[in-house]
Amino acid sequence: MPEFDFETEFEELNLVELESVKRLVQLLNNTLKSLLIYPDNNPIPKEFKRKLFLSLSEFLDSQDELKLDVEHSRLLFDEKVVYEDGEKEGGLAYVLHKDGIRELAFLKGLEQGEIEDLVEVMEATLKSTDLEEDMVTMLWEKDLNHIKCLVVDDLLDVDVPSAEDIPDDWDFSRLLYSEIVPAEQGAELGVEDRQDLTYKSREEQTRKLLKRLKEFSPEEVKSIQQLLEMDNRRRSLDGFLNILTEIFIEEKDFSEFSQMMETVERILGTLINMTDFHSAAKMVRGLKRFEKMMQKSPEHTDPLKKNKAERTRKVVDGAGEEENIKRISQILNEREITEFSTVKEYLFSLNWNSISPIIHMLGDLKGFLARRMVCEVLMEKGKDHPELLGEGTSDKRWYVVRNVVFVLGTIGSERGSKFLKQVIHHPDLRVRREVVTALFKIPGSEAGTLLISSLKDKDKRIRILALRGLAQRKEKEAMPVLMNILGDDQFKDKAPEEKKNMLESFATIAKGEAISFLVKMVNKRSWLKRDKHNETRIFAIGALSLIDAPEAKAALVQLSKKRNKAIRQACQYALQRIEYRLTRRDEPTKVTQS
Amino acid sequence: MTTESPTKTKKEEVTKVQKLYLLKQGKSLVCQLYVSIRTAQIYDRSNLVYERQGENLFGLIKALLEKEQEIFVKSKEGYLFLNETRLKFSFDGYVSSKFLMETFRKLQFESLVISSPLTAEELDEFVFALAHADMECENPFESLQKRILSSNIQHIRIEKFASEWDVGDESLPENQKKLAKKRFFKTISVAQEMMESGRTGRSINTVKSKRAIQFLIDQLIKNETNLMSLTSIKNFDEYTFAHSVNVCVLSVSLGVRLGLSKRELSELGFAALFHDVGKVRLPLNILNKAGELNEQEWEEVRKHPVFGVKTLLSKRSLDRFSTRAMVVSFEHHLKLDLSGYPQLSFKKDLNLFSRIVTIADVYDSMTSGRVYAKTPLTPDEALRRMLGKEGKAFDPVLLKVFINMLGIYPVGSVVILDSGEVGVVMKANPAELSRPEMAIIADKFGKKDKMETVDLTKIDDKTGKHKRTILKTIDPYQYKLDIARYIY
Ligand SMILES: [Fe+2]
Ligand SMILES: [Fe+2]
Repeated sequence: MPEFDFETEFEELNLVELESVKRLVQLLNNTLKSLLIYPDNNPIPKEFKRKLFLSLSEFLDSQDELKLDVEHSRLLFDEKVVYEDGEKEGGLAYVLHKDGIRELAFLKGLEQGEIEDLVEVMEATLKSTDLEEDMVTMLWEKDLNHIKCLVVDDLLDVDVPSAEDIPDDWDFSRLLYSEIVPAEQGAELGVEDRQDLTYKSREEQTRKLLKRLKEFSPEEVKSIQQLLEMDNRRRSLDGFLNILTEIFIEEKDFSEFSQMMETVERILGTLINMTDFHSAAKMVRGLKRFEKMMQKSPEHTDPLKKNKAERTRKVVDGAGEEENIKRISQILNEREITEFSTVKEYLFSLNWNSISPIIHMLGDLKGFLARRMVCEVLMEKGKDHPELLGEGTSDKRWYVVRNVVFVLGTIGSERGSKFLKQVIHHPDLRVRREVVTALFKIPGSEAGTLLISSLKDKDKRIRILALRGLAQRKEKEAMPVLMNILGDDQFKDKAPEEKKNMLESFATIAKGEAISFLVKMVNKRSWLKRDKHNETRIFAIGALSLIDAPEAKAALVQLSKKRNKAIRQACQYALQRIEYRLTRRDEPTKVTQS
Repeated sequence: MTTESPTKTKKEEVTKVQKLYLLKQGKSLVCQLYVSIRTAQIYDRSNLVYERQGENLFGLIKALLEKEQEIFVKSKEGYLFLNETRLKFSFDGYVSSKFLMETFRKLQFESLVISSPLTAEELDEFVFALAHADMECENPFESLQKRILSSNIQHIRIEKFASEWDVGDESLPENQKKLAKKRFFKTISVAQEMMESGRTGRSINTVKSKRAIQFLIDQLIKNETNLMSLTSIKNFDEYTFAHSVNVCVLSVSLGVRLGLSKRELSELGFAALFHDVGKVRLPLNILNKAGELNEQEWEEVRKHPVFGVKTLLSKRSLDRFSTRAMVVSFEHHLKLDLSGYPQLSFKKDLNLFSRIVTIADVYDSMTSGRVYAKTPLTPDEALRRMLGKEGKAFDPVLLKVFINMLGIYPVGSVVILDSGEVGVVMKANPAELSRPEMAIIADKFGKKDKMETVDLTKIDDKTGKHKRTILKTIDPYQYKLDIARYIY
């Protein structure tokens, strides 16, 4: 029988175990790294977390626990090093060690949620610059059942007075008083009073009290549950903002008030740094309400209130100033934020002085979605201030101008046209296109004039777009200009697309007045460039079909008798279109029935 | 977006459902066990009252055994576990869970294992064995074990606490008490440090106080008596800071009863510890004034809730701890009907934490000496007074939970018993509020030299009545008694 070498066997087993621990720690480290690199919700860190959980569970199935000793820059298992931080500070071991963790243990029964909590806390610690962010506190609060850590307990180095040290003479003069007025609590008892309270009445009270105390009625249970639920829903900042307002109202000393406002400014900055835009917005809205209140109060002559209102206004205005808004762009770029609803809420809350700085965000923001969010903000904020928006049209960056133009168009205020005028000849085609599109929606003669002037744009695409715009607006002013162009000999040389659009726009705008002009065009003969000419004639026939008048139909019937086969066909097709339009007009009842 | 593999999701779903089931059933089981044991202590087995409870318990266990292979109830570090799932108790189930853990502890077992096929007879035998177990004998575990074996209970077994070296010295009662004292005084010194840096306007680093509070909370979850008894000693040198810690301990204990999470408890503890932080801004001549304050001085004092907010605001960062603490500082002298101070313009209700801290604050203040109100109230008197104000000053239900926690005669109360003895209350009894554990400090002849701990729930075998009952409380100050000596 061969001798079994227990020692070697045992050592080998240990080696296998050591290797798998090394792999696990490496996996933990990689999970953290992936979290630092990828934004939230990316599938890669998610997958890492899942793997980490599965591997750890597998290990714990056979080993019951995994206990790691934490040293300054390395982790040990069973007194052997299983992990070492790289050169840089801020590695896995360092982070655990710095807050006083000396041992980290995973226990059997580990749950996926617990791993996520652990990794979340470690990630937050690695990312945070806040000195008061304490990993031990965060882990402790997570209250994990299967992840335990041993923390250096430096809280025991304290002198506990011995029993003899406690004064037994009840020397109240040595005690600082309590601010609770006995009378206020109904507890003011004279010495006689105390003696009057006889034993009997006390006993009676106690019994009554006992009866009601032990059981909780369903109403009482409900009332506590409601209280707890309310507290759960309420974000701690709400209560805080409410009391701030109360304090602001009561503050009699302006310099104190001013000092608090400085703090408020600082807090706003912090909230933004923490990307808690929702709270920041709440704060700004609260300040604005307060300012209004100070102004509205009947004693508006009260200089203190006036000063308070002004000082508050300064804070809100300050939040909307260039450097503060720039900081937001920076944060959004750096942190790759993808959820913008709270940012939007915050920008909305600011005063109108923030409009220009917000416009500049359009130039600073890297993400398309972020820029779209800014546009949405500007649409709302700029509604009453198109002039402020308009200034954005002089920005050097074409894309800023284009976005501003887009916003002006969406707002659709006539006051915006004068700014569009400034950029209607912008060197960048994309800007000009946006300008023409914006002019579609802006009322007033100026916008129409601008569209007409775009008919001279050097780019065909812009001219066509302008034509569509004019048609949509039914811009009568354009009629003479269009007739001029159409009447020109060189018209037939234009690209078919432009010709078609021009004729159709003309028909749409001029309606009945266009019929004779168009018929004339079809009847006109030309021996030069016949193809081009025929093309124009066919487009003119098409344009005629757009006019909703019996005269137009009659004209087409006439023209359909022409010898030219192409013309005849075009006319027939045009007549069919009219017919189709007419039947559709009769049909709507049928349509709704089906 | 990722699509997770269906098997995993399904597995997770199953454990989630199972966990919820265990949480719900566990709570019912613990409550029913409590009721059954308590009923068994009073009635015979053939009594209808017990029979009904016994049946309920059996039904519950049967149902559980159909889903789980066995029922494994464990008491560990202040929590109860059912098949490895930690049970959560709010104020309504708190008494049952505490009672059960106490029973486990006194009988020296850590877990209780029930397996199929359990019979109703076995269960009844076991309940009666627990209800009448001798907890004061030399070896309670062995004697209970013996009874289980002799009664032929085959499907219930108890497992002893892990041996001492395994649990660590911390579990020894003396060491627990020592540790609690250290935590208490450390928190005092941390509070003092923070308040002083508040006075000098230095920015405050809160990590230390958060950690100190965590230790307090851990202690309170495991065993609230030690810390609670420290709050009844009012003559520590620097009372202001001891007051802060007292309010912290009392508030957190109330929070534990309400079933708050650790995260909430630490916020509550922080807010309670610094509820009076605004006092650092009051002029010292007012703070240290020995006599009665005049109206002008009162005017100043009433600013401390707002001062508190300002002091906390000057901290560098704004986190959930400080915002909570500011709200509590601002509101802690407002009553439920919003009378009190400071003046309000809009506010409609008080924050939960403020309601808790106010109760703790008033209780601690009323039971402490004040320079101008020369006699502090006895603890029970203070509670009675507060109860008289319920609905106006305090949240009535929270106050009720608070009194349930302290008992009618809170730790530190000095009472005269019907035996003629004088005792100091050492530990509340959640099951019987007027029958706490106490230390006898004088016999009926007024002799003070012997000190013996007694449990007021004990019944005299001969008479069938309680051996001792509290007649009335007395004012230790009037009798020149220093309770610190007994409970410290
Ligand atoms: Fe106070
Ligand atoms: Fe206080």
